[in-house]
Amino acid sequence: MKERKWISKADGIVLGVLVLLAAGFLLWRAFTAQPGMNAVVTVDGEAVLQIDLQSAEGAQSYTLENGVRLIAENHTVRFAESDCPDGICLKTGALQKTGDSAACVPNRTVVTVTGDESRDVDVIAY
Amino acid sequence: MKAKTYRIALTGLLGACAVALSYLESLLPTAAFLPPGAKPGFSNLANMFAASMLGPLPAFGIAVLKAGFAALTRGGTAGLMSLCGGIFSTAVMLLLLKKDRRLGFVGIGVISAVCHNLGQLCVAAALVGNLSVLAYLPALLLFGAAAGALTGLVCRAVLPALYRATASFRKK
Repeated sequence: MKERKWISKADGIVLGVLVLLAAGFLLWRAFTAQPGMNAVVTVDGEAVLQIDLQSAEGAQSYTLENGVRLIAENHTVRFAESDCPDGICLKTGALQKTGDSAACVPNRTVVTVTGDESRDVDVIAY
Repeated sequence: MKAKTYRIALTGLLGACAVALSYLESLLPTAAFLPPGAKPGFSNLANMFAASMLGPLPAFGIAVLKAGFAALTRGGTAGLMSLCGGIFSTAVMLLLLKKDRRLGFVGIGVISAVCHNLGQLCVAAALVGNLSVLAYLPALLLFGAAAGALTGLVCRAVLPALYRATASFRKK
């Protein structure tokens, strides 16, 4: 059996690239994310609900057809109830900034916070 | 003939270790700063050992067994995600162990852990029909890198002992 090192120079490069990628993405998010305007809920890729986060004052509860319950509160939105086995969606916590997203994969449900661009659509809708 | 039987038995043992490690790490408390659902993936140790000592079939077998365990205990979705992540990371691990000359154990552990996360995330994106789950990617890359480095170090540390202990299990 050929001897393989514990850690090599190539390993350092791999780790460095990964850390740079992740740090770059996180920094980009930190600088570009703004307080969200709306939360879009999709089930199986279809948008089923749009929640206005700007005007939400008290806690507002939304129950989807698949039994998932969401709560919008203080301009944030979070998964409040789901029958999925590991509850990762519940642990994700409250979403606030544009681009923030939480997913419940067993229930095929995703919540994504969106910004200004969807407000234009709202204005047209009024 | 006898050596073949030993290899099958050793594969079974490693599979049992992988399942036991999966269960044990589910008992660990989750920390708030970690991405939700992130696991250290200790059971990849069994995978890495099988991939480096026993060859492709046992390594893939263990990946499938782990997915079956996840499906039984955490539901079909978790099982499918584990299966795709496990197969992808095992394939990459086998390829690197065979072809690569420059990476160390840490590098292989890191790359296979990140591939595991990538495979799972792609399945998740396909299942929910939405790419926004990729927002989890940077956190999973960082966490996967740390977990994979640990797996690689532990694997390298215990490999000589396991190699000696299982000398009679391998081909004679």
